[in-house]
Amino acid sequence: MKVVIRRSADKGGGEQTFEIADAPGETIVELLELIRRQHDPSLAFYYSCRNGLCGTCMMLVNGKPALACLQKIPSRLDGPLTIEPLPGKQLVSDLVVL
Amino acid sequence: MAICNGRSGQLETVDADILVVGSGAAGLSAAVHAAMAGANVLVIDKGIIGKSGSTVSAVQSAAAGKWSTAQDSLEAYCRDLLASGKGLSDPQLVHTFVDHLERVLDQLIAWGLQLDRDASGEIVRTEAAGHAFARSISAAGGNTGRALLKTLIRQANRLPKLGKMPFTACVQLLVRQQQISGALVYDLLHNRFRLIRCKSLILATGGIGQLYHVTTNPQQATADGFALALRAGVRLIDMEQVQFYPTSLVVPHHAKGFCLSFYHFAKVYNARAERIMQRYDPVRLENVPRDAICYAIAKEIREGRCTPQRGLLLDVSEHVQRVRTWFPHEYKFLRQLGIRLEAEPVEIAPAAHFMMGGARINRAAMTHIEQLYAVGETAGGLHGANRLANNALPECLVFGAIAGESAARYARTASHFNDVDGEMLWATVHRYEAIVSRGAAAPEQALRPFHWKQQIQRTMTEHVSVLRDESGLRAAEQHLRDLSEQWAEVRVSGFPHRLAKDFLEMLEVENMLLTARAIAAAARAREETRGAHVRLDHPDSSPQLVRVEVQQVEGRLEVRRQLQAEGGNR
Ligand SMILES: Cc1cc2nc3c(=O)[nH]c(=O)nc-3n(C[C@H](O)[C@H](O)[C@H](O)COP(=O)(O)OP(=O)(O)OC[C@H]3O[C@@H](n4cnc5c(N)ncnc54)[C@H](O)[C@@H]3O)c2cc1C
Ligand code: FES
Repeated sequence: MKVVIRRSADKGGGEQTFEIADAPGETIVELLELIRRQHDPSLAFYYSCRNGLCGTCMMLVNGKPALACLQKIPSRLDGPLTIEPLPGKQLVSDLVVL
Repeated sequence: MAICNGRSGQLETVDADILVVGSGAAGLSAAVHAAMAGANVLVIDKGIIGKSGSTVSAVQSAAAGKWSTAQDSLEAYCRDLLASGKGLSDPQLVHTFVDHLERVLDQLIAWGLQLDRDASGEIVRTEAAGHAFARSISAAGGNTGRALLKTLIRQANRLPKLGKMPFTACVQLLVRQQQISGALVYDLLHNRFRLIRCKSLILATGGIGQLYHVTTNPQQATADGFALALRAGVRLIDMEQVQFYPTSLVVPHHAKGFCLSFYHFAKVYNARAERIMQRYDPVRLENVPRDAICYAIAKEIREGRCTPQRGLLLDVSEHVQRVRTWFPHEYKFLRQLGIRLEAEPVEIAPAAHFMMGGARINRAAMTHIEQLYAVGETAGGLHGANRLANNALPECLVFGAIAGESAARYARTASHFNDVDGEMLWATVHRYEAIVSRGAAAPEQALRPFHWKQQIQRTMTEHVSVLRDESGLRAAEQHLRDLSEQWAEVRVSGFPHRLAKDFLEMLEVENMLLTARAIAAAARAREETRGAHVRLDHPDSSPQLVRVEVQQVEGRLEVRRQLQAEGGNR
C-alpha cells in the first residue's frame, strides 16, 4: 500500500511516499503509529481521546476531513492513500494543527 | 546534533506567580480561579490545551445544593462518598468537597455553562449507582467534560494575567528545603528546556490509564504527575486503588476500552447466558458501584465463562431509548461501529479507567511540600477504595478552585521566588542530553521508548489488573525492575524534529515505570481486599483499617502501612 503524507517545511516540505507492506491496523491513527515506529520517527501527528470527542486528530484523508482515530483505512483504493493536515488552521508540524 | 540547550549553561527562564501543570478540568479550574483572584498564572500542557486529558470524554457530573434534586442533602452526599470509599475516603476532603460544590457550579453557570434541560425547562438530573439521589447533571447533551472545558477556556481568555503554553511537558518539580521554587519543563516544539520559576505550583496532570493495554483514557494519561510528585518527595496514598471501568468495548480492536456508561440499567451475561449479577448481588443486580460489578466480570472471565475474546455480554435492548437520551455519544459511536443495541448485546470487559490514589493533600489541596498543590485525578484521598460515577469532574472543579484561590492568596503575600536548586536542575538536563547524544536507533528497533511502554502495559495488565495476588505482584515488580535496568539502552529517534514523539515518550516511560512500581508495591502491601483492590490470596477485608503510603526517599521507594482509626485517617 502506498501512503502519501504532506510534510511541513521543518520536515523538508512536500509530499512523502511510504510503501507499507506490514499490516497497518484498522484506522488512520494506527497506520500513522506504524509509520512513525517503523519507517520515519520524525513524523508528527496528534491524537488524544481515540473516541471522536476531542477533535485533535482531524486531518484530510484522501482530501476529506476525517477524525484519524475513527477513520478506517479504505480497503479498496484506486490510487495511493493521501494524508494532509487540516487546512485553515495554524500548522504546527506535519499533520498537527492548532 | 543540536542538543537541547544545556551546554550553553543558560536556560531561558519564565516567571509566574502560579504554574499550573495540566489543562484538564482540574488545571483550568485552578488557573481561572487563581487569575480571577489577581495572580499571574501560567498553564502548561504537554499536549493541546484543554483537549489532551480525560476531561474531554466525561459524560456527566454530580451536583450539590440547588443544582441537585430537592430531596438531596449535603449529609446524604457525604454518606454516599464515605460508604463508597470503604474507610479510605478522607472525611476532611469529603466534607470540603461537598461544601464547595454548589458555589463552584454557580461560578461556571455565571461564566456561561448551560446545563441540559428537559422539555419543560427543568434541569435533567439522573441516577447513578451508589448515589442515593438523582444528582447527575450534564451539559451539551452529555458532552459535559467538553462543555466544562469550553466554559473554562472562554473564561481564561478573558483574563489577561493567565498565560498558556501548549506542547510543554513538565520534566521535574524543583523543590528545595520542602518548598517549591519552580519546574524544569521541555518545549516540544522548539526542543529546548526552560526553567519556570513560581511561588506556587499546581499539579493537575490527570491519570494513569496508559499503564495498561486496554484503557478508557487518552494517550496523554501516562502517570506523569504521580512520578513527578514522588521524585519531589511527595507522599502518595492508596496507589493500589485503580478503578477499572467494568463495561468497556472489547471489539473492534481500535475502539477497545471505549466505556459504556449505562451498565446500571442493562444486564450482564456470561458465555453460558447466565445473568451473572444474580449470583454476585441478587438484590441490586447491575445497579452497583463499579468495584462490585468489575469484580464479578473479572471473576467470570478468569474462570473461563467468557467469549473467545475474553469478554462478557451487555444487553440493554429493553432501554435503548434511555441510552439515546442520556448517552447520545455512546449510542452514535456504537452505531458507527455497526453495533445496534436494539438487536444484539455488546461484548465488554473491564478497562483501566481512574486512579483513586495519588498525592496526599490537605483541605487546601496542598501536599506536605509548601505551596505544591495536587488536584483532580493526580490527588488522592477523596474517593478512597472506589470512586462513584460522576464524582471525578466535580472533584476537579472544587479542588482546582480551592488550590487556585489558596495559591493566589499566597502570591499576594510572597515577595520573592524561592531559590532554585541549580545542581539538581542541571543534573537532569545533562542526563537527558546524554541519552539523546547516544544517537538514534534504527526506526524499527526495539530500543525506542515505545518498546518500554508496551512492556509496562503487558506486565501491569497481566499482574496488576482487577484480580491480584502476591506472586503476580512480585513478578510485576521484578519485571519493572528489569525494565528500569534495561533503560540504560534506550535510544531516541527523530530528535530534534518538532513534535517527533520519542523524546516525549522517553519522559513518559520514566514516569510510567516509577508510578507502576509504586502501584505494584502498594498493592502488595495491602494484604486484604478492599474496594477496587482485590487480592485473590486475601479475599476478605481486614478488620483493621490500614492506609498504604508510598514515598521516594533517597532514590528508593518506601512503602508504609499506617493503622487508621475507623472513620478517620489522620
Ligand atoms: C472515557 C472517560 C469517561 C469519563 N466519564 C466521566 C464522567 O462521566 N463523569 C466524571 O465525573 N468523570 C468521568 N471520567 C473521569 C474524569 O474525566 C477524569 O478523572 C477527570 O476529567 C480528570 O481531570 P484532570 O483535570 O485531573 O486530568 P485530565 O483531564 O486528564 O488532564 C490532564 C492534563 O495534563 C496534561 N499533562 C499530563 N502530564 C503532563 C506533563 N508532564 N506536563 C504537562 N502536561 C501534562 C495532559 O496532557 C492533560 O491535558 C471519565 C474518564 C474517561 C477517560
Ligand atoms: S483522538 Fe480525539 S477525536 Fe480522535
